[in-house]
Amino acid sequence: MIEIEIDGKPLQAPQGAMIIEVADANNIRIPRFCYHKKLSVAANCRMCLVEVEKMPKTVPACATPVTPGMKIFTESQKARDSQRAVMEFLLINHPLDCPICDQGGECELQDNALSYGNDNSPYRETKRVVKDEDIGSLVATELTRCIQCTRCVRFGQEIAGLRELGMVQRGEHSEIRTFMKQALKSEVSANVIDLCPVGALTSKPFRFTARAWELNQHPGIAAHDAFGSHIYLHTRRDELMRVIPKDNENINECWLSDRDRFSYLGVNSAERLLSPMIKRNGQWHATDWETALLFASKSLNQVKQKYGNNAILGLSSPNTTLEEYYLFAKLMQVLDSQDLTYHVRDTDLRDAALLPEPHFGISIADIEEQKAIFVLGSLLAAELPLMSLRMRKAILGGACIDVINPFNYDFNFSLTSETVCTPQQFAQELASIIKVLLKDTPNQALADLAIVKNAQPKAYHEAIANRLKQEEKSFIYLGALAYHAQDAALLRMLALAIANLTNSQFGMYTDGANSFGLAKIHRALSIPVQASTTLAANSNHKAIMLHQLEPSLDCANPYQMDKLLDQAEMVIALTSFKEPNLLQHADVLFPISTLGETSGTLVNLENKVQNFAGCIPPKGEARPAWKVFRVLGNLLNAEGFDENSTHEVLNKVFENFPDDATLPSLAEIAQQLADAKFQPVDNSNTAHDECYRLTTWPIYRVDNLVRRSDALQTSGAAKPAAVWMNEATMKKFQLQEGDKVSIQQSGNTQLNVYLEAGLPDQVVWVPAGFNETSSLGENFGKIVINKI
Amino acid sequence: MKLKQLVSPETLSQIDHWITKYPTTQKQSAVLPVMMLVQDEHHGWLTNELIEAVADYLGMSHIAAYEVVSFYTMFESQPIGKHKISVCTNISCQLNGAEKIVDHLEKRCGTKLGETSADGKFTLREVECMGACIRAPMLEYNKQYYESLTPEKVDELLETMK
Ligand code: SF4
Ligand code: FES
Ligand code: FES
Repeated sequence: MIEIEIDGKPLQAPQGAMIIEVADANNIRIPRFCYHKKLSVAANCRMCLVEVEKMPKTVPACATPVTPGMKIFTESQKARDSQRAVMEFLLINHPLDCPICDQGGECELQDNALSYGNDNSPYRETKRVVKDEDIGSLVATELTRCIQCTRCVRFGQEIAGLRELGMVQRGEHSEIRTFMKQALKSEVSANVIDLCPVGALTSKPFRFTARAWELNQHPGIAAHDAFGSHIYLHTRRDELMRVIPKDNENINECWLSDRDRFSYLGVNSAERLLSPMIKRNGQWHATDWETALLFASKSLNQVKQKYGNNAILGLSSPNTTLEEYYLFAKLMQVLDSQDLTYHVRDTDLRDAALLPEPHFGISIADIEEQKAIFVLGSLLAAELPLMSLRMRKAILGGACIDVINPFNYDFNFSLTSETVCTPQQFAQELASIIKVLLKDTPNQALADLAIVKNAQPKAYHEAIANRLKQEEKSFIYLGALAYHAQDAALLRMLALAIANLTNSQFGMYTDGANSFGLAKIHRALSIPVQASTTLAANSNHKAIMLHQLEPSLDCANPYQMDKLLDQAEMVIALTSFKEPNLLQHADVLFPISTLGETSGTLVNLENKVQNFAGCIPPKGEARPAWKVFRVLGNLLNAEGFDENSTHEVLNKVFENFPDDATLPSLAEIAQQLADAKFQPVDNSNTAHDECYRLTTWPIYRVDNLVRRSDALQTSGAAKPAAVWMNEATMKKFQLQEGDKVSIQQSGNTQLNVYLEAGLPDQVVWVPAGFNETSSLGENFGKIVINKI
Repeated sequence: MKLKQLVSPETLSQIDHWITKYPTTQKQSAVLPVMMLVQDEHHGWLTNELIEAVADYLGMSHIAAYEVVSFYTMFESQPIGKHKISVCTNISCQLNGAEKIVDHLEKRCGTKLGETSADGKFTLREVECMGACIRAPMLEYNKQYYESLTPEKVDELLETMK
C-alpha cells in the first residue's frame, strides 16, 4: 500500500493500481468511456484526463499507475478544461438527438456531456454517418452513435473468447463491424449492450418500447441454469419490459448469458395459457378455476381409489422452485404415490444411494483459480455459458484443460488436449485414468474391477492423471453429455474415484435451475430418486401430473412418454403455455405463473439458497403453481396445505432441510462399482448400416420459456432441428449437406442433414427439444438413417 | 478453403519463414508480411476467402485479420486496376503541390482519387506521409517511390505502364 492524495484527500492505494481504480474504490467520480473494470486498458477516449502534480499535461486516469506521494486533482481548472475539450471532440461526430435515441436517459455520453461538457459548440460542419449492420436478432446497431471506445471489441477478445466485432478502417472512417455481416454467435453476445456507453449497440427486442425512467427495477434470479445468475427485471406498470444483469462478483460478475437476458420474451408468447381449460369429448373448453380444480381433484381421487398405490405419476421441470416442488411432493404423498421426479432428461440414477444429491465441489468464483481442469462430455458454453467464461479465465491464468468429448467442440479457449470418443466409451476412458493412478496409489478393490482391468491407458491418460495429481487446485467436471449419458451414474462414480485418487474437486452439470434444491426435497421427504424413463418403463401410471413440463420436448425419451400419456386416464398439466402435444394428451390445463410473476426459492450449484419476489401480476387467469398444489391439497381434505405465502411454505421446507450430503469414500465407491448393477449399459456396437445418436438440448431449447423467446430462436447461437454428421458418414449413406433423410428410432421423423466435421464416423447428433425430433426415442443409442 | 490450397508452395514456404520470426504462441504477429505475400499472388487484392484463410492459418479471428486489411492502405479488399498508384497528400507533399499532381493523375488516368478507371487500367489511392517528405511531392507505384514529382515526370512514369 502506498499513500496518495486525490482532490486533497489522503488515500491508501495498492502499488501499481491505476488512478481510476483508486478513485472508484473511494467513490471519487472520474468520467470515462473506454475504461471498464473487467476489460483491458485501452486509454483511447481520453475522457478520464486528470491533473497530477508535477506533470506538465493532464494524464489519463485509467492508464496512469499511482506512485507514492502522488497528488491528483480531478476537478481542478486544468482537469476540467481537458475533460471539456475531450467532450467537445467526442460530440463533433456524435448526433445530438438524444430524444430519438434508445439509450437516452441511461447514456454515459449524455451524463458526461451534462456534467463535463459545454452547453454550446462552435462546430458547424457536417457530422459523419456510419451505415448500420444487422448483427442478429439480439443486438441492434446504430453505428453513427459509436464513439470508438472499443469496449465491445475487447469484450469479444478478452471475455467471451469469440471475437466477432472489430474496428475496421481507420481514423475518421473507423467503424464497428463484423466480418462479412454475420449474426453474433456467442452465447453471451448481448453483454455488449450493457458495455456500450452510448446508443450504438442496444437491445433489439427492447428497443424503443420504453424509456429508462419509466421502468421499475426488481432484483431476481435467472432460472435457466444452475448458476442462478442475479438479474434485474425491469417493469413498466404491469409489463415485464426487459432483464439486465445485477452485479454479483461471486456468481455472474457483471455479465449475463443471452438466455437469461432474453427468455423474458416468452412471457408474452401468443401460446400463453390464460385460463383453466378442461377437455370434454376431445374438445377444449375454457373454464373457471373452481370447476377445473374440482374436476382435477375428483379425478385424482378416483384414480387413487381405483388403482391404489403409485398409480399417479408426477413429473416436474427441474426449474421448479423449492416451494412448488415441496407442495407437489406433499400432494403426491396424499395421493399415495412415490413416483415423482424432476429427472426428466438424465436416465441413470444407479448411484442415488451413494450420491443422493448433485455435487459441485468448488465455488463459482473458484473455477478461475483452478490450475488443472478435466472436462468430460460437455458443450460448455451451450450448457452453462457463464461457466465457460470462468474456465476461460482459469486458462488465461495458466491452467491446463483436458477434454474428452464426443466431438471436437469449439470451446472459447484453447485446450491442452482433446480426445474424441462416443459416450459409450466414456466409462472406459475414465477407467484408463484410474489405472494410471493406481500405479502410485494401489487400491486392490479398484484394480479388481473388470473395467479397470481391461483398460489400456494411453499417453494422454497418463498426462491427465498427472496434471490432476500434481496441481493443488484441480477440478473434474462432468458436462451435460455425461449427465445425460446412459451410464451417467457409472461415470460419476469413476470420476469421483479419480477425484479421490488425485485430491481433485468434482463438479457436475445438472439440468435446469434447481436440481440441487429439488434433490434436497427428495431427501427431506424420503421420496425415492428415479428417472422419468425408469418410472415410465416400470408401471402404467393411470394419472399423470405435469408441472411446467412439455414431455415431448423436455424428456429423455419422448416416444416412451407419448405412449405413457396415451394410456393414462387422466393427464393434468400445470403449464404457462398451450403446447400442441400437451393439448393432445392432457385433460385439464391449469394456467400458471412464469418469470417475474411469482416468488420462490432456487438453489444454485454452490448450494446457495436464493429467493426472489414476483414483480408483475400473472397474465390472464394464471396463478402461481404453489397455490394450485395447495388448493388441490385442500380439496383432497389433506392435513396441512394451509400456507398463505411462499415464505410460509419455505419455512416448512426449512424445518427439515437436509445438510449437504457428504461424498462417498473411495472404499464405498469401489464397493459400489463392484456391484453387478454397475456394468456399463450402453455398450452395444453400431452395426454397419446404423448410426449412434447423440443428443443435447440446444441452448435455447431447454425449457418452455426460452423456447418461446422468438429473438433467441432466431439468434446466431440457435441451432435448427436437424441431423449433424461428419463427411465420412455422409459419404457412407450417400448424403450431402441439405439432403432430407428419414430417421428411425422407436418413432420416425424427417430431418435435414448438416455437416459437423468434428463428429466421429457413424455418430450423428440429433438435438432434442424440437417438435421435429419429438417422435424419436432415447437420447442416446442406435438410430437408422435413410435417404429420401 | 485452407491457405495451403490457395497459394503456391513457394509463397507458402515464404509465409512459414515469416512465421518462424515470431514466438510460436504469437503467429499472428506475421499478419502483415503474410497478407502482403498473399495479395501479391492474387492480382493485388484480397478476397474474403483469402482473408479467412490467412486468419485461420495464423490462428486469429477473421474480423481481426479484416481489421488489419482495412486499416492499411497497402491492402485492397476490392478488385483494383492493373496499375495501382498511391499518391501522398499529407502536409509536406501538399505544401509542395500534391494537389497539382493529383489533378494531373486524375486527368491522365481517367478516374478520381480513390477509384478505378473504367477500363480497369488504373487505381488511384490517396495515402498519408510515406516518409519521403524531403523530396515531396511523391507517389508510390509497384513498391517504388517516385519523388520530386512534376506533371512531366508523372507522364514519363505513365508511359512505362502498359
Ligand atoms: S459500438 Fe459502443 S461499445 Fe463498441 S466501440 Fe462503439 S461506442 Fe464503444
Ligand atoms: S477512460 Fe481513460 S482514456 Fe478512456
Ligand atoms: S508528407 Fe508526403 S511523404 Fe511525407
